[in-house]
Amino acid sequence: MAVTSGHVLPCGCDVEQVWEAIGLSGGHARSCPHCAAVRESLLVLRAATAELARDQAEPSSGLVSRVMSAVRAEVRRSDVLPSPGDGPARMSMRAVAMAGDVGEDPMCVRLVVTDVDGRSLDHLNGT
Amino acid sequence: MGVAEAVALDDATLVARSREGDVRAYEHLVRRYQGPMYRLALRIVGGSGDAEDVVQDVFLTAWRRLGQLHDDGAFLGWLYRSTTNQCLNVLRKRKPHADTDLDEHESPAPRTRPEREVEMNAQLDALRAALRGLTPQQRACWVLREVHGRSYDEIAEAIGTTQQAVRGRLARARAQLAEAMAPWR
Repeated sequence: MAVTSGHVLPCGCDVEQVWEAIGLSGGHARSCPHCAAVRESLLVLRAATAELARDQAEPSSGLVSRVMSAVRAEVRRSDVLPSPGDGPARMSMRAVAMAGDVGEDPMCVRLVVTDVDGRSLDHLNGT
Repeated sequence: MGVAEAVALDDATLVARSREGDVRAYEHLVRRYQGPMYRLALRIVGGSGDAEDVVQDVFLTAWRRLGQLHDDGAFLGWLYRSTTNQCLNVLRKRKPHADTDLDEHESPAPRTRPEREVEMNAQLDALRAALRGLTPQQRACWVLREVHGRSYDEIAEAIGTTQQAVRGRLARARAQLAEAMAPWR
């Protein structure tokens, strides 16, 4: 099914047909005055669109910091994990966030796992 | 992980490391894509403050949902979808006439610009004004396709509609924008 813009010209052509034929050197879209006028408008639109795409507006310099502060706040939140036989355990992700802050390898941080009362579950802890 | 190493890593690697809790890796993804997502949001919602809020929400939500991303290499497409959706949500909540303070065209004009540049800036202003006259969904379709070069399939998924509907909205948007640009031909 052909796509139409709903904007039909007096000659019966749709604006979308003129757009699809914009690269052609001849044909109705070039000889018909209605289509030729629309074609000129579409060419102006195309040039302005290219200019818009070249516009590299940047966000404020603090955006990354704000995003990462929110992410690190998420990381610092403790997550309750199921623990084998001992009831729920709580794993602190704070060490991971701190390692990220100072540029260390976050794969080599100590995990601190406690029960919900804050008692360390040493058998689950690791580095 | 140093900056140079992170810059060389592809999205899939950075996503996989982020999912393991590597905040540094995620920060590199944020730095890599905050610009394109900000510009997309700016072009759809119009105001820089709203656009930054959208980007912040998108990256925080993406961090929370990294576990749901099945294809680590699809992160960018995921960001485009999420940013588009968030923009449309912002526009839905926005009161009518609340876009009077849109500031996308904040480009102070130097006094000695060549005539051609002056004309192009005037055309850009006209295009931005015409974009505000489209429906939010038409605007999102047009910006994603014509400015950000996304595929019809991706746009359909981002908007939650069919490719045929995307093509229809694009055609109507193009016709309306071309009409707005007619005085410049």
